[in-house]
Formats: sequence, structure tokens, C-alpha cells
Amino acid sequence: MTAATLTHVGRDLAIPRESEGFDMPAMASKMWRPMLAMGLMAVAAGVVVGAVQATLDNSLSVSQVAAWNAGVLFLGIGLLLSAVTFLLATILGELRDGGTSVQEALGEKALILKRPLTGKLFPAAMMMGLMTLLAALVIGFIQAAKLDTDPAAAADIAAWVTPLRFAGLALLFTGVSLALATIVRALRFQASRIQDIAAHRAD
Amino acid sequence: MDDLDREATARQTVAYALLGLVTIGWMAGLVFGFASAGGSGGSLVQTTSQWLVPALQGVIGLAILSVAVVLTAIARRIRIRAHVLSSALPRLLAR
Repeated sequence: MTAATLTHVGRDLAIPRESEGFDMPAMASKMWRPMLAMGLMAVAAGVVVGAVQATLDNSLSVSQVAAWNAGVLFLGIGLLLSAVTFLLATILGELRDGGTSVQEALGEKALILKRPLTGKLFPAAMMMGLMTLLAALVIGFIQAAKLDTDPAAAADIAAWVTPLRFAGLALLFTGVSLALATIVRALRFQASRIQDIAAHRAD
Repeated sequence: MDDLDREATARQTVAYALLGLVTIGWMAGLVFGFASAGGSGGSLVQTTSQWLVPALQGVIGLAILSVAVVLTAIARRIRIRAHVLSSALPRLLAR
């Protein structure tokens, strides 16, 4: 792989459009729909199970369902937040492609923002959050199984699995926040690039 | 471009409708919560503690869905903006 030529545009670093490596927005534009669909299904399933749980008479069954259903609902919300993160990546792609088309229309070399640290971190934060919620779902089922045979161990699990679920959500929100910060950088880059082109033409 | 504009407007409308549902959802959640605390009411209110939290998480799901729908509208608006700038800027700078 050849090293991309770095150019300063305002306060940001830019690279030529053609030297961008992995096209994350293209992948994200395909992934947000399945994530959204899976998230909606998981949340709907969790709500239905919650309603069914309210009709159960056996208190052990109620506790067991409550133990794993929270994991289903948190995973559903996590999948929806992942879809939001992918949509933000899609918006970044739209900004990049729109900026490229404007520069080409002006007869200038198409430069794009060199992916900032926030742009590298947000997919990782999202994946870590989703994996955490998936692990918490599995642990919820283990906890439900232990309620019958070893209630003390189930209580121990309950004490830390809820914070684990919230940690997963926090990671997903971190991913959303980092993606929004990347969009702010992309907008600043575009404003600087237009100013550079206008200044270049004025000279 | 007109198609993109129509799509973006339709998605904004859907997002507003979802937000209406979300508002009704959390208000109903509050009412059921207070009714449950009062200890009166029928079987639905008696079992509130078991179904209310999952139902409210469903409301949060709807709220996140409305965010996603608005983001798809923003993506379309950005595409329209790029198209407008691509055609208008060269003419403006050529003056």
C-alpha cells in the first residue's frame, strides 16, 4: 500500500479521495437496515414476553423470565443504537461523496478528511458495546437456570449483570457520540476546503 | 432530486408520528406507575410491576427508531445539498 499524500486544509489533514483505504460508509449503508430490523424484533419480543410474564402464577417462572428478558430488551436497544451508529457512518459517507462531487465540479483535486481518531474509535466502541450486551444476554439465561438449582449464585450474578448491561449501553452511546464528533470534523473540513478553493481562485 | 426531497419529507413526517407515539407511551407509563403505587385498580394495574419496565423499554426502542428515521432524512438532505452546491458553486465562482 502506498502512503497517501497529506495536505493541510484549515486545521485538518486531508488525503486524496482515491487513496482512502477501507470504505466503512459503504459497508454501513448496507448494515443499518438488518441491525434496525433485528433490534425492532428483539424489542417487540421483549415487550410481548413482559406481557406474558405478567400472566404467570408461579413466582419462580416469573423470576426466571425476568432474569433473561431484560437481556433481550437491552440487546434490542443495543441493536437499534448500532443501526443509529451505522446511519451516522452513512451520513459521513454522504458528506465525503458530496464534498468530492463539489470539488470535482469546481475542477479541483478531490480531497477528503483523513480519518480522525474519533472516526477510528466509533466502530470499535459500537462493536464492544454490542458484544457486551450479547454476553449479558447469555449470562441472563445462565442466571435464570441457576434460580432453580442455586439461588445464591443467581443472586450474585444478578448483582453484576445489570451494571454489565448498562456498561454495554454506555459503550454504544460512546460510539454514537464519537461518530457525531467525526461528523463535526467533516463539516469543519468542508467549510475550510471551500474557503481554500475560493481563496485560491481569488489570487 | 424531487424524489429525494419527497423521501426526506416523508421520513421527517414518520419521525414526528413516532415521537407522538413515544410521548403517549411515556405518559401512559407514568400513569400506570402512579396507579400501581396507589394500590388500586384492576388486574392490569395489579401486575404493572411485571410488564411496565419491558413496555417502557419498548418506548425507548421507538424513540431510537425515530432518531434512525430522522438520520435517513438527513442523509437525503445532504445528498440534495451536494447536488445543489455542485451545480451552483462553479457558476458563482466563475463570476
